[in-house]
Amino acid sequence: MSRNLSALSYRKGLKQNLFEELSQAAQSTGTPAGEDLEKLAREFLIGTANTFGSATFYDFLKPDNKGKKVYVCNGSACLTAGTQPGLVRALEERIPAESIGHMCCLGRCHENGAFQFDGRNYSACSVADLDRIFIGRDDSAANEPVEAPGENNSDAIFSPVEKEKTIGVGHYAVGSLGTPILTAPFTDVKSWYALWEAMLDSGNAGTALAEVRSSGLRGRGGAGFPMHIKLETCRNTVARERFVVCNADEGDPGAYTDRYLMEQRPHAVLFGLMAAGWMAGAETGVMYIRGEYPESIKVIRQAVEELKTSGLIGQNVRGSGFSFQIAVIAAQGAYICGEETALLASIEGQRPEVRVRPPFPAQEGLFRLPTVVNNVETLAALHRILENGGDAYARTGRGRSTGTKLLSLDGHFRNPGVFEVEMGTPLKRVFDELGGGFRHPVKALHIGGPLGGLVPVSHIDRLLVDFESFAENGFLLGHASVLCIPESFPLIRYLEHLFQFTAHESCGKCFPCRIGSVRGQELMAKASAESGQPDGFRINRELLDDLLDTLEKGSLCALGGGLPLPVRNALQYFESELQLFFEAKNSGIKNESRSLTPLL
Amino acid sequence: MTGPLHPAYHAEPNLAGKPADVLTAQAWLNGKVAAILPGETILAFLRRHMGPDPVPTLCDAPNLEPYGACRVCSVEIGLRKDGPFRTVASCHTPVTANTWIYTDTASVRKLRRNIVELVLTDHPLDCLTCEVNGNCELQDVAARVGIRTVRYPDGANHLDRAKDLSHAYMTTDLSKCINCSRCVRACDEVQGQFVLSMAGRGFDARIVKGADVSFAESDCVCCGACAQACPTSAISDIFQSKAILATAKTRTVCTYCGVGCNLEISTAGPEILSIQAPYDAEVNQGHTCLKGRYAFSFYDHPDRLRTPLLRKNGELVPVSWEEAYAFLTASLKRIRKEHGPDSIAGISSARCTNEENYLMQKFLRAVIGTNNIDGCARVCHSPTALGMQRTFGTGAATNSVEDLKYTQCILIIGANPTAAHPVTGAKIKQRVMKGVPLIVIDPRKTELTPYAAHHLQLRPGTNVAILNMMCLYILDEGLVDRRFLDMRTEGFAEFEKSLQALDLDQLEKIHGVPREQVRAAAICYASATAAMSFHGLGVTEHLQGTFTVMQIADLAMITGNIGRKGVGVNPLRGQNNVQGLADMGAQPHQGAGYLDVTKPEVHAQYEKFYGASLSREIGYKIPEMYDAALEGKLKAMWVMGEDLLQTDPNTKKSWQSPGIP
Repeated sequence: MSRNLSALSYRKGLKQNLFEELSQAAQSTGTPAGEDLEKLAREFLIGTANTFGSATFYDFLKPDNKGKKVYVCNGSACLTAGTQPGLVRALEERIPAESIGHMCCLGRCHENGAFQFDGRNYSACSVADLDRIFIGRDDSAANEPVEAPGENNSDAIFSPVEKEKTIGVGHYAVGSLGTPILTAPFTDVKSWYALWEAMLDSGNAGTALAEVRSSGLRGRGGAGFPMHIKLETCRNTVARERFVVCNADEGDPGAYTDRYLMEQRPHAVLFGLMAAGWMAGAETGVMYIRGEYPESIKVIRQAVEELKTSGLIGQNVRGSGFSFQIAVIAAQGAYICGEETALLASIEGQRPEVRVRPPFPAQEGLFRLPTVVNNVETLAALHRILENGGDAYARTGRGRSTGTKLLSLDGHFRNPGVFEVEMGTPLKRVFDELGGGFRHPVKALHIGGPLGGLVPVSHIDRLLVDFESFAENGFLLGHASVLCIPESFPLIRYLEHLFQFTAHESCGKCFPCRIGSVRGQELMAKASAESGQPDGFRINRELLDDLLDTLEKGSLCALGGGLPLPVRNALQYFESELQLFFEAKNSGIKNESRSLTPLL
Repeated sequence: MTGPLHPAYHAEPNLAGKPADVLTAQAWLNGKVAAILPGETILAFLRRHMGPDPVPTLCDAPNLEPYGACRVCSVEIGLRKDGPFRTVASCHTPVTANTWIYTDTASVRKLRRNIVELVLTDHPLDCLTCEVNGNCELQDVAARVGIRTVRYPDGANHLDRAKDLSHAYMTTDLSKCINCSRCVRACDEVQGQFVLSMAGRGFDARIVKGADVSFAESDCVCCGACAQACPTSAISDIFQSKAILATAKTRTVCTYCGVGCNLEISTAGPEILSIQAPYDAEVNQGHTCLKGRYAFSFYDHPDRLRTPLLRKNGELVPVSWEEAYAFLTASLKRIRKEHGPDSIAGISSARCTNEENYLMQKFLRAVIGTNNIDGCARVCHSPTALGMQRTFGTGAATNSVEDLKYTQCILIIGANPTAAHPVTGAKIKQRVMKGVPLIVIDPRKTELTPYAAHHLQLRPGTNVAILNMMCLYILDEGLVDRRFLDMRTEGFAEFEKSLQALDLDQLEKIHGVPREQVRAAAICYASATAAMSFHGLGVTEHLQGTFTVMQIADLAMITGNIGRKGVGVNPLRGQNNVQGLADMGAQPHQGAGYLDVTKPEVHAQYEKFYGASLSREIGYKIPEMYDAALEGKLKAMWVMGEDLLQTDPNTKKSWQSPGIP
């Protein structure tokens, strides 16, 4: 990530944003034309190599994206649900194969069969559904989730058993155990922002910050970093301008809690962004929302307009001396942009490659200026904290994991949806009381995204929904998405999928992740393909261990660094299933190895 | 804002004045106590204590910012002697007091080996026929970490990438690329050209030029920074500058512009093979330009003279040195005898050494007996020398180029540094791209003007008017540095008075730039905490050159931009030894050391030193030499290392002067 490019992009800043210009240039054909790249390079003084380099990074801007009409979800939940091969076949009967692309997780893990068409997301598992969508253009099939109010309201839940009948309707359950905070009913804009007005009138951001500190609120994106430290660091760093960025690039396959918040509680998120900006001394907020969530982008944009017209944001809001503006930026398909430094580079229009830390974003972030980056769910918790006080919030939860946490359950549960529980709630209660149990036998749960742990069903009883309980048991709460691996789904395929996902999403900067993810995928694929052959390829365990060790210790960010966790979990808990893919222990290296004599 | 130099490569920092706890801060390096410095990376710390190569590295380069891609520099750190330990890349992790750092544990040795093994799964391994065999960083690191096999089965690779040999100088063979991005970063962080980028992502990320065009079609300016940065032969040049064919390497100074880049010349016998820029050079820190790096083939060009030539019957014919000297001595003696010493003149050269210039002027003065000695130093930047002598007392840049690191505003007047002084130009561009405001006063659009905060596109020849207007606005805005003026200057009251007598309408009419633009630029310059000015021939080669230089000096003085880091008045001089030429006394009015030849005491001192009788008359300046020749007063000229017709004004007149063919 180049300092020069940051500074040159900053010359036009968010008003004429380079990344959005690149996206705009791709609108008509799916990829920016050469002239557009040259024009932007001239305008921003950055060289065509850089506009080309940035554009080719993103799934929805790169030249291969040209002419794509439909994007089929290839996320983990749709994979294990087995809906996608049939969907692709049915699509290919209707549109040319070359116009079908892929998106990794549309956040429709509750019903699968997910794809995007014409800027809207759908789920379909039958030909009839496809015809309704393509021919009838039936909008009721699109994703306008209807919330089930209250706890676990089964009326609004489309259970998998009923799926065949209700296919294509984007409904999922929403519920909670204990006192809901994030899923609590939303009344109206006016009363919701009375708190904002009172805050501005008080002019005392320091007090508010103290509430956040005492609330113990930790980042919900996965890392669990105390939020107040970011706010304070940003506030205390001398700079001409500061930013607050909402990381709404919810890329973990299986996670759709942020999508829920943005689409169903947009003002909870936006209030959080505004309050965080106010506390951190940042007058510009950015919502960076993944392109796979067109509905979220739409809802948030509408909500921002609402804020502008109500005078709740803008110049010198309520005469407080505090100005706040919000930019909504649609991402263009790159999981790595969920990593905060890559996300910031993306907003700048640079290639979203992970940058070394320190300096941390709170010191040197967007355009190299102090920036608070927080997840959607973290920001959404601020309203309750600032309204009822940090201590009240801290009384919910368990130990250092205060407050509540959203979990998203996939379609292998009888009652898939987004559920809010207090930190420390037994995981089993969530599965049984909210998720309704599994539809069919499940052997493991992949919790916390692709880099989270692979929890064998036997371990569900041991886990509480909080950061510490997961860490102590060798897993990761992460963003708390829950994906089921059905008994029937081969783990070797799942591991190949994880390596393939990492290889596809690796930014390519650090050597271990760039090369190691591909080699891991190759090992899994080859072992899987040749497992039936008596003298077929078997993975050398020492080599795989070395690869995992290299990824874990050597990777620059959590993508390469996190992948070994689920792989090791699989090797530990499912040894008997996986052993036929491995060389017999202590057999030494038997694979053909290339000689390196020319080096010597 | 960090400077262009990787902190790891800074010499031992000066710790004078640092608080005691900083001086005593320490960490444990492989079990032994070692002092740490605030802000340094672990790698910089290791280099200070263990020497230049404490751990293997691939993506690190001396003139680039820490990047953290290859991870082979990883070390283990812990808060206690016995751990637990964390593996971190040393190149970008700051060293922390009281931590335990281990550089060579079994764990990091294995990690390094495993990373390099992964790299080799996608590398041609054709080392024996590779251009950089024996001088390849990947080869060195692979040997150092002890790789013996690649255990992975054959998989996807990029070995079929085609070479790009389209460019006049640069070559690429991206099958050898290890994706360290050093070339991309060099093009960005050093030259600031943005010709190169990575494209695509992940395993298929690859280096592209422009929008994936050939090197020849790209905007490459052939500085060669990428080739020098590349650790393998993925990017190189037609001279194979990283090959180990040389039998000797010689450190020297570039003979092109006045920047003074250090160069390292690789030779095999009498043949120059290639040129690289040493990283430890103060001036250029591993960088140089197209001219310095690649434009050397003239050295044995067939057009070069190999013997003296003497014009006989209108034809230049080769003669022996004996015949040439005999002709010279006989002719000069005869002319001196017949027409007097002042009928002979010499022109010395800014491309020659101090010794040569000194002897040239001594020959004219002590042997011939005339002050008719001049050189191009006086042609191009004489107004700088005089203007700065009048205002500051001496005619040289007040600050060094290194001060660009500290400046907060850059003013460029009548200069196009990215073209004429590329390495300094690149350094200016680096600062300006990062947001330091740039003011350009120039009728032309140059490479830097798109980056400028203010471009005052004045009518040619109206520098004084525009600078006067700037001074006036600075006065009006109350931005003069009274304290500095009181303590360090004299005559400000008169200066102020003369400024106030000026008519803005008239000035605006003269220079043709809307006054609000001038005002904004003036405020920008005057309100910066440290402002640095650069000027070139667009200032000096005018009738008002000297006054313009004095105005630039005034501008610096009234705003207190003198005598500190990151400020000052900085002429961009043309040729590599233009300063030495003047220092050595190749000027008609001043002898060696800038002493006035007309002053009796100076004259006596020179006569005593040279043991000869010298002239006390100021000699001919170069244009006067042509006049004298046309009038028949000048009969002979000795021209050393100067192309008169290319250099001097009024080419037709020079051409018509007797003796010039």
